[in-house]
Amino acid sequence: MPDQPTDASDTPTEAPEQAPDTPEQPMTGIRERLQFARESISLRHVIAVVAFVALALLPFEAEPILMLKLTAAFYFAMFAMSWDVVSGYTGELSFGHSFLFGIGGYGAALMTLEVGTSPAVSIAVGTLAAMVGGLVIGAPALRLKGPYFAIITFLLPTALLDFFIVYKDVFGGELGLSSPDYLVSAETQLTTIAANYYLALAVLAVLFVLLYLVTRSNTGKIFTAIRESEDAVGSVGINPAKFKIFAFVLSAGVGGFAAAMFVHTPAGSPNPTQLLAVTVSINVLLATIFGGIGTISGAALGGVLFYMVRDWLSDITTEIPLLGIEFGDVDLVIFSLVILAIIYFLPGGILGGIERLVSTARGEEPDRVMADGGGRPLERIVDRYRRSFANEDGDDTNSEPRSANDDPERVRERRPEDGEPR
Amino acid sequence: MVSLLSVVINALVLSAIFALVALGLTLIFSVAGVFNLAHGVNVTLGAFTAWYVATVLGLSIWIAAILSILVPAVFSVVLYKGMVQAIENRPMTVMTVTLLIELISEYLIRELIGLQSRSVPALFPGVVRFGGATLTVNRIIAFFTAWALVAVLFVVFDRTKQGKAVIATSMSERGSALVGIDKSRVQLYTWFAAGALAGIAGLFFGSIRTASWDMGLNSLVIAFPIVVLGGMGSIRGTLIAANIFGFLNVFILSYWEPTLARTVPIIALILILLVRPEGLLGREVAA
Amino acid sequence: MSADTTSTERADAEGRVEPVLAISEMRVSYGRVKALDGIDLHVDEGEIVSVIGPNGAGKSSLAEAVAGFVPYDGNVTYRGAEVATHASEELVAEGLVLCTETRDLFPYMSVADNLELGAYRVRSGAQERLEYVYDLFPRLRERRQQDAETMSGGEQQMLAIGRALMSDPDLLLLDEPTLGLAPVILDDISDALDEIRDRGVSILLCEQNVTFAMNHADRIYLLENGEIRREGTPATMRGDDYIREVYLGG
Repeated sequence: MPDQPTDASDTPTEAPEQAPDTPEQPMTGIRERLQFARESISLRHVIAVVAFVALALLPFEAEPILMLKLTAAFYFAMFAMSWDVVSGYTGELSFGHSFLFGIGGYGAALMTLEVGTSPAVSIAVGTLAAMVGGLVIGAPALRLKGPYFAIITFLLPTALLDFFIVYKDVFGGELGLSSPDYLVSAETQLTTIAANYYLALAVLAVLFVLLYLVTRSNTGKIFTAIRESEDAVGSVGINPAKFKIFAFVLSAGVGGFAAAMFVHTPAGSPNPTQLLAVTVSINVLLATIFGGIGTISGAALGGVLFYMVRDWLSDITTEIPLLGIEFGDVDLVIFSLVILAIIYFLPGGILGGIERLVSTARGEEPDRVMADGGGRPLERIVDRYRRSFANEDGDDTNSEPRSANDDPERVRERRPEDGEPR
Repeated sequence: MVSLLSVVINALVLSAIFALVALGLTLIFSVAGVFNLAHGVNVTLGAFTAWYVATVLGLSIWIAAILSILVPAVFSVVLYKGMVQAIENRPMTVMTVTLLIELISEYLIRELIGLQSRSVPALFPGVVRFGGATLTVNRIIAFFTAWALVAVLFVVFDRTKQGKAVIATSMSERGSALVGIDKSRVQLYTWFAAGALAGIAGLFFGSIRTASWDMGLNSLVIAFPIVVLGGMGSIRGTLIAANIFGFLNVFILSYWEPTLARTVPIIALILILLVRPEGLLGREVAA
Repeated sequence: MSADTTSTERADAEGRVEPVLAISEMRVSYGRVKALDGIDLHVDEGEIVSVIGPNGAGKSSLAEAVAGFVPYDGNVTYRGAEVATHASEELVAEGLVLCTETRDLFPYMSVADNLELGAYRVRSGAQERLEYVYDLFPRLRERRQQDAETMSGGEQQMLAIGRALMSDPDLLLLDEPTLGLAPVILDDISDALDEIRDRGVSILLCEQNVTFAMNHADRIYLLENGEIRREGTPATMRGDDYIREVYLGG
């Protein structure tokens, strides 16, 4: 809403034009975005395929413990992808995706443990429960413009964890529940681990393809368009809230499913540290920024890498000079600092950085490469509230109209708030 | 069993302190249009600065009190100038960055100080009896100081040129630019004030309850529902909401399940978004 | 077509006075869309210059770029200094004041507070100017304790102009001051405009209401699709077939 106070009206014709001079521009941008699904096989896809093949061949060489870690890393990557669908694409940041993982994982585990259903049924129930949870939160929070969704998701995992602690007879409190039966198990422990490894890799691949297709579909284009300008999407007759809620419920389904699967493997169990803690939500966010936000492939790769690097870091017992703190104790801090650096200096994440390096070396225009689903998202996960026209990013020559035209909107689009004490 | 009177007094005191934390968030939100998720750090910094100066260095609690206001205020300004200003037109990025700052700070404090809670010495020792309830002078001072600060804020916003400029910017950024208000100066005042208020809140939390590494995040968990119920930018709304959640908090702590003291405000927040997203005194909300 | 005779004569008579505002080859674009494409325009001391044109022609972009709110290419000099090198709030202090089409009042502040903030950048004389504004728009004096948002559109427009005057303008940029106003209010604004000009304030008036512009302007530019199409005095513009047909209803 513009600051323009409501007119008590001198004449009935009093309807000031809203956007001066160029109301049509953002809409053309949106329409183009909705109509043209420009895709190209880019470097990131090559990386994804190579990584997938390498991971598929790995069990023939690896230690069981590494396989278990990688299995956990795959599920973590699914968490990251589920976060990316809603936050990376629609721009509604979720700071508490672990809420959904918690519902999915705990729900499924409780079904197996208490109700006694088979793991497959439990997983289905857990997934559904997470989707319902997503709907219950998303419906009120996402129909509002503003940071409501971010705030509420920020608080949710804490609330759920406290609830689990209070009713620890059912939910196991801080320690979590005991591990339910595995979805797949074999004669020997080694085969069980290998089987679960492949299962996780297969599920990761399937979910990756699913999310990839959704985000590249027309629906995905609308997600991206919402991130660019919710108002512009609204003005072409699309209800942005509906799509945001859809994205969140889809995300809840994927995240909940991954968590429900995860607790039925030897790599994971229904406990706060793996599913519900605030740090899980943050790690998911960090991993996706690390890999490149709003790309799905960045989330998948970033997820696996992040998990493994963190695991490696947490084993390092070397002390940081002067502070006397072990590296392993502050790995999250180190990661947070790295991510801050990425936010400020490498907005496309590591994948984006690599691609930019490669395309610069090839002498290409670096921008188009990034555009799978749209541009350099972190930079533009942005403000439906305010917009910047001072775009100092010299290399950002992409087609998005986000220089001068954003200014009138930026200054105008502020909700009038009662800040006046009297 | 605690008497109802002492529970009510407790709630009043705590609400006043919550209000100080929430006011800073509200002010920054209404002036800058961003949520500062690192706001909790100011609370923690305030508490631990006071503890460090008074207990470790052994200096007067009054020096400690002054520093517990200044340190967070300076931290807040440095955060704005150093990290937020460059990205201030991207609210979501600001939230991400400030959340990371919050987490990094929390980890560092935990590593440096440990999991153990500390207590800040009382500014005024002693107790008074009041209608069957015993309460510390410290609490009474906290209550009156908090409300005195609120009164000062009102006078500043109502009567001074710079205060009016802050309010004007929160109402219409464009309007304030049209009359030549320098936005970055207004921002500086706001971040400074927000840091100082949270620092005082931290000082009081530290001396009434205890100072712990996770107190920042814990106060945010209550401050956010307060800000939303208050109408995201309304000062009066924030004060009322702070008392509602303060009472809720203390009553749950005293009469129900202490662990749910954090859960209930969050559930209340979801209900608020469903029923009255514009908050108590909010003028309007874009649907 | 160079029919700006009156003003040039006046400038020459005073010995080649620098224009208050000089715009040359100004371009403003929003992404790929050009809002203004090569504008040449000037406002001399004490002049009312009006830019007319249809909705979306680029009038608001022009006003906002001149006031330092929108980046531009080309040259815009205010009293000899390039506008782009100054922050918009500095320009206000220098007397280049914009009154926007959207008014951008402080909605929950009283009329008096709105006006007081108008003088934010002014060191002295705020009290006298407040009286002057109240004399100019007596309705504002009557409603000085009322919140801006509770006033009618016309009163809000008066307040917006009043607030701009409180900034002690030397060049006042008025963007669509008559938009959606009732005829009675239009007369008030009209009288005020004459009064403001008599105080020596130069005015750039971006106006869709061509009749209103013709009645006040010394010179008029017609802006269409981001380009200046016609330029002249109200008299020459009235004589122009195209203007008559399209803007004055035949």
